[in-house]
Amino acid sequence: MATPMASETGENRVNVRQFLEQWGDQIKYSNIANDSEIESISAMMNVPTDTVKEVSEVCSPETLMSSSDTLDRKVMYETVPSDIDLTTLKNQAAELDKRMKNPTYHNHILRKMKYNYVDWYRYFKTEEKFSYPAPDGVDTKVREPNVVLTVQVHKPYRNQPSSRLVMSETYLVLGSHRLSELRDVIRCSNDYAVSGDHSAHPDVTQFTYAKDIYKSGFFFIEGTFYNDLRYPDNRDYSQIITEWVSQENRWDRIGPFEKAKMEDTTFLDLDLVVGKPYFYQHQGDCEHLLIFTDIRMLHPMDPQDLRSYPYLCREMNHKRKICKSCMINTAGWIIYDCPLLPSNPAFMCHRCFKALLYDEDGNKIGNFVAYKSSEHPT
Amino acid sequence: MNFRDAYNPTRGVKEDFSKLLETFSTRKTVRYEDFAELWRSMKFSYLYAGRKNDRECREFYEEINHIALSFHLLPYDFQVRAGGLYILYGLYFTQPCVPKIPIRVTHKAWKQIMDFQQSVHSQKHYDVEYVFQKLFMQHAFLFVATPREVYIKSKDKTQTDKVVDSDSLTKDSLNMEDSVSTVFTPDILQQLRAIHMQYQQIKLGIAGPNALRPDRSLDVVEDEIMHSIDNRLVQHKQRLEKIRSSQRGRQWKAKREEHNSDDGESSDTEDPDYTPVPKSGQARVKAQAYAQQARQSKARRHRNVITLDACAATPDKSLRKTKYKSKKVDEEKEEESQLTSPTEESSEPLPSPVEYLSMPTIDMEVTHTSGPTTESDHSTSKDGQSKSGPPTFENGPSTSKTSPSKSSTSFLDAETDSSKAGTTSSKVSKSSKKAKTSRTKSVLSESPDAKSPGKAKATPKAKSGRLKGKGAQQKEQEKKKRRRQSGAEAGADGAPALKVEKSSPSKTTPSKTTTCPKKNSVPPKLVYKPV
Repeated sequence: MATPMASETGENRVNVRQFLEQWGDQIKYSNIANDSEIESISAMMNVPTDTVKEVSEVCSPETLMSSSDTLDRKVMYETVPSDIDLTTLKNQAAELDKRMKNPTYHNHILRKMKYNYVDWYRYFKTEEKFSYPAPDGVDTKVREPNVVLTVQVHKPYRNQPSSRLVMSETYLVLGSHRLSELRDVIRCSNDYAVSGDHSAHPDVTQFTYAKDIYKSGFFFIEGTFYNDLRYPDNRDYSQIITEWVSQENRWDRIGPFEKAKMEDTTFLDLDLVVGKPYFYQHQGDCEHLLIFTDIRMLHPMDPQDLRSYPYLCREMNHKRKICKSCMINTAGWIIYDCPLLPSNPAFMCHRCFKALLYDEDGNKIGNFVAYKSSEHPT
Repeated sequence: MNFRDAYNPTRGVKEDFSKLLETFSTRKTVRYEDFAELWRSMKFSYLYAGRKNDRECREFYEEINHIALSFHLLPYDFQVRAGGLYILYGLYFTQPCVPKIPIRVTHKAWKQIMDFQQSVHSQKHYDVEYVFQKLFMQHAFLFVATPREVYIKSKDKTQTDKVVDSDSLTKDSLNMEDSVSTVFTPDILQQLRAIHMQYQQIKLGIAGPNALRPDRSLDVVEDEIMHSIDNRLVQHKQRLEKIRSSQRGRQWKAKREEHNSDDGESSDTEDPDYTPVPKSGQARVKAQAYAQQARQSKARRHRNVITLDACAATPDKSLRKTKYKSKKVDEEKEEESQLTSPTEESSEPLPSPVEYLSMPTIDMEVTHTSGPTTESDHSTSKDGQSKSGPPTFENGPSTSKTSPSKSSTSFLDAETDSSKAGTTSSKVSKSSKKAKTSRTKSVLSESPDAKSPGKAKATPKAKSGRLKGKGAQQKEQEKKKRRRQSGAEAGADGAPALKVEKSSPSKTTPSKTTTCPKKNSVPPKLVYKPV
């Protein structure tokens, strides 16, 4: 079987549209719901229903259970029955033993598992209730057949030896979505940065986040820059890069790059390499890596409503900055140069901030500089 | 240090499936009833037992799906393929995960499946067809571009399971990808053998009913081609091993430096007698040459040791001291220095001489294995090292038990750091404090003077054989440092030393195997007498 290491050529290079067309005819889930299973199977097999009924009794899943089975899930998960002669079980018993003896090993294994506890529950959300009903006349059901891509977004990456690649969220997107829809969903704390010293008026609640001011961004996928040009003053970040590339000493080594618009390209138009990191840049220099980990056809298990896409299917826990004084709330303020606080800068939540550094009239005590910190745990 | 590679959730699954399919094929039937009977008798529905919870089961299930699917595809024969399909059916309907996890199929695999279904349909095997249709109707298939999800860091778990996969011709000792082995996988070789056999049989058949061998005019392919392919592969593997082992020797030195505190799990499993010797090349020659000399301790701390066995070589030691000290500073940086300085090789703790404020901190037996007096010095130095050990033990009594892991790293780091700074003088308090922090390394190495009335103290037995050479050196340093420290403040030491020592006996047994950073390459058998 193919190894999961990303390779540029061969099996991992997928043209999404071709992938869809390859499979398009084979899968039609919607017409199954009408007939009963036996009838549809007999239709497929071209065999009378009675025969199928007989066969179905012979082959029913009950035949797979041993007669003395409990098969209670919980019990099964907990222990390995010792009377069964399966190599797998013996190995698993040894493994469980090893884990019990060595808690560190146990923790290590748990941490390195592929799925988190939380991930699993997301799969129950296929019947979602939306806060707004579908506009009339618009069918929000996902069209079949369709391609589902799994995109792994990472936290901002700094090209320094100390920085690690940290996964952030995983989204499911449909092939028919535009790239800009993915961009809108990616959350980054840099987007919520508020500039300026707000210590003079701490109670203002309306802020202009950086994402409202600097709205440009681009994806760089397979040699093409997909710029976000939806708003009139979005800059074309890729221009500088392409100019740099086309300088004399570089153009022969780094191939020419193309440009396209993010809002005009759908995922179906893309030619992807599964597992290869791609690039998303916004806010001038905030860089994220994206990896398409999986390309597959739509399945009944996936959310069936267009409104739920891009669908957040995995979320990682993010650290949050805790207020120094109460150690309970998330810090909303970053304070510099304050003699009353133990560190410079210090982090405080809004209530402690007001309580400590402002008198009863709301005037600032002391000479400090305070910036609003994003309370979004991203 | 890689636990993840050690755990392969699907270990043993392939054997179980093979066994089931073999038994199934001996029955010469593709009827589902027979399969179900076999399934029940082998109690396959319990396959998922022991996976602690849904998420682990899910990961397990996804992997075994691949294995089961591979049995359903070419090049297996019709019966095995039918059996493979039945297995998929069985796995899907007995899986405990909710909602059910689908089977990932790529386009290529799907084509084969459809072809198989065509032939099944034409042969009117209703049960096989029904089984497939039922799976399809229940949306058990997921149509994908790649068999597994691809992420940049993922490694194929089944390929790292070298231990169990007995027919694997490839060993990835340094995680190097061997392009030959990716082409000549065991599956492909098996297929080649089967095809070649078929080919030979067909040729034989053409030659006539009584022919003993195929017609000479058809001799296009070498008769024993599989043999020669196998031989070539084995040779290739051996050549690679040679290259890798020489690389490994070099890398091993490097790794020892970096990971000397990562005792880890190997400490439990490795024979304490084991001294890792690089397999080839310069490193090996040097290691052998210095193996004997390694025992000598050149630590300064030996100078002032009052020992039961007269360790007379004080003047030597003073000479060596400077050499050693300078080396110490460099050592941390250059792993190569290991080879050039015999003193850094593992040392043997010797029967312990008197300790000033000694109490047997840890039950250790140190055998005297090589002759010269330096060894006794060394042992004392080791004892001295152990002294600074206990302070660190206090930090991590819990970690000592669970230590083969990063969690104890800082603690072990501290110890090895202290060993490194053995020649440096630091007071016990200072060193212990430093030992407690992970910054010890740099700090300790900076303090250069050595004063040590040696204190023979039981050092916790270092069980990680893997890092013997380097670890021994670390241990030496540590010991030296400790001894120096203990020597330096005999009086002041008393209190902390005693305190430390008191706690350590409690820790001796659990900590024995895991806490001590690899100090000894040879199991030290040192019996300490309380003073």
